[in-house]
Amino acid sequence: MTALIANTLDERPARRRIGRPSKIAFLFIAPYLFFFVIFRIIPALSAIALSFGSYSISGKIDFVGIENYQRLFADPLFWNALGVTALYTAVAVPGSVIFSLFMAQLANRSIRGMRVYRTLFFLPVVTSLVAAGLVWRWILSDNGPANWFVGLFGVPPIPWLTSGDTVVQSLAIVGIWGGFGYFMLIILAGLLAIPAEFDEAAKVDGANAWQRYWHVTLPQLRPTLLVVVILSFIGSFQVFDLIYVMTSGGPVRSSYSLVFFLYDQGFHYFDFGFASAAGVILFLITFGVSAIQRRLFGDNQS
Amino acid sequence: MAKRHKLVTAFVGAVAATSLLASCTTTGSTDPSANPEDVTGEVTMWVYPYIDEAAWWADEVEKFNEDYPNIDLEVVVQPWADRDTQITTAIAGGQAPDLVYFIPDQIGQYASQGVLADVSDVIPDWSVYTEPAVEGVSYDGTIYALPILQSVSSRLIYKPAWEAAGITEYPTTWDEALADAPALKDAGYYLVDYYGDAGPSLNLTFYPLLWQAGGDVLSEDGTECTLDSKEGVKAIEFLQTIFENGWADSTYLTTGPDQNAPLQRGLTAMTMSTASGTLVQSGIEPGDDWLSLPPLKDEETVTYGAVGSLGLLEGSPNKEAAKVFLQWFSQPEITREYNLDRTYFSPIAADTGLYEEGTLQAGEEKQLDLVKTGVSAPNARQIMDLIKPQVQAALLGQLSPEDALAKACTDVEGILQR
Repeated sequence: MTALIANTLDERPARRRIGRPSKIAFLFIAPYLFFFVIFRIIPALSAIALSFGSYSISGKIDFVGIENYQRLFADPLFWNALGVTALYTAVAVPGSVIFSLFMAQLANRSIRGMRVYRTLFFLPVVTSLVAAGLVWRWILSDNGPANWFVGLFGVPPIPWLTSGDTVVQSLAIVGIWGGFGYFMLIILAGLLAIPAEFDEAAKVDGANAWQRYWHVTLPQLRPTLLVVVILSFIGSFQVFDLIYVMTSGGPVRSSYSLVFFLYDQGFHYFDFGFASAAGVILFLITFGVSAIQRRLFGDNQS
Repeated sequence: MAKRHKLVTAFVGAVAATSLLASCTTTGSTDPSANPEDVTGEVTMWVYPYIDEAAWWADEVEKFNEDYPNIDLEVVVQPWADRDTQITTAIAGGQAPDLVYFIPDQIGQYASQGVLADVSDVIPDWSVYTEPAVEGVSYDGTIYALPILQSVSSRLIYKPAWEAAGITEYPTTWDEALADAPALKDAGYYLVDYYGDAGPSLNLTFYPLLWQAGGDVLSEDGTECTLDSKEGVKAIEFLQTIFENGWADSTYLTTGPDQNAPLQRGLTAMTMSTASGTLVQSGIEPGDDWLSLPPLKDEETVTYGAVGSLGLLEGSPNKEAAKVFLQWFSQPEITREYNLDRTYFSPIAADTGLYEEGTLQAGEEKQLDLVKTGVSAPNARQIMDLIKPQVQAALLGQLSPEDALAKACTDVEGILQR
């Protein structure tokens, strides 16, 4: 009987069998998968479920259907927060990509002490954004070093953090500073992976430096840049700690982001169902953009 | 069998503790016939740092255990920052403490969520506490926490500023203060400090002025927003006059207090509403240069005062032991010691004269009956967050006072109607 079953199993050509290397690979990713499910998937699914309920911290949950979403879409504070987040993203994403690309180019040179420079460039990434935010708050204050510096060129003081017209852009600059080291490393890895032969062939064909960069290097970096764009987008849409420390969402709510809104609704006002609905919308936006990126990346591969 | 034994023990313990509590005749006294050794349980309490709390509480736990050797009391000192996040996640995760230090804004919010237990039976006669103290720990007619501390956000006068301006008599009203402001400005001092940023609580900034003008945020029954009144407009116009004339630093309309603030640099003639304890915690050593005076008067003489309290969580499995601790801590001498070490005031009405005459604290103590404990509503904080940006917009000149307050009230009404 055992032999019969074994033979039957052996006669299933359509079903792929997990070979030893695959099993070992699975063994390696299993711990990650376990914690990913526990700390990401289950909370995410719980949040989706919670967005259809009214949750009291005493543990009581009442099903309210789509009421939280109706309230959310009718809440001007939500639209304001979404607008602020979109503006922040519109400044931070291109800024991050361009600045990281520039810094990666600088770091992709064989000069003495380059490792030290690369480490220095990476330093903001490992610096606490809360601590950095406090320092930046001082730098960008009305009487701070930033205004002293622009004053050297005859520019009048800029209300970096104290005007609704400039606060989001100022925060985005700090955000770019905080994240460029990470993106620079990704782009640097992409640059190093481009075969030198491509550049040499273009050179033989008579292309100048700019033409080689524009027509050879950048197209080769496309997948890498797409990864950077999507990571930067997700990070920008989730901006919170920087704003919390530097402006508390002000002045007059002009830097009140979507995650700040979510945090207030949940942990300040205990309206967890409503906060979850905002979280689901945030998830859908980032998921949608990720899906577009995936599609673009897939097209590139094909 | 073991389970039954445990149940019997728990029952006996509960009866003993209940008898003990029921037999109390005054705060801090216990029935000598009750045996404290019969009361058992493990109590965890979260407190927040005013001083070296760990060291202070270690001594208190020792004293408590001399009276109640079978109650295991653990005191955990938590950071002030994000304390609601800590509490809510602990409750949701089933890891909540039994007792937590609360202020009045939190009582209504947590009580309305059903997570606070009624502690009315801990004290047989609540009239021994000051009125603001009882008000600050009550929600919807029920007492949810034991008051252990009172503070007064007083008007602290920086004497050198007034001397430099040649002013010998301190103002007592808004008009007098405005009249003194030019001389102070000429002498290089701001009249007051005011923070319009989204960070600081309105209890310490705008609300005291609103109350002084004779207004309030909500109607008495808490169902209507009354902010958009002539009193509210008057409070904003008072501030506008101050900022337009440079009598307060307008930088702090858009940023929170920091080490560069005029107050920290000795450039402010008086605070609008600041507890001397807060002054010390912000790094200013008051000394003889400072004086505490009653708040300025427009229509009323009133300011904000916090009530620190210990609330018992409804989900606590050790309610009786926790109540025994609360009852023990309510003894006037313990409450007094707690406040003396933190330079605050005992909420027990008869326990006055804690500080030597002539000190800042002695001046503040005389103002305990001038305080309000904030807005009594389950969503007091959400209401405050809706008002903050509108007041800020008016002070920045983006909205007229009338429009700002009308907009704030529209937002607040939306919350009240929910």
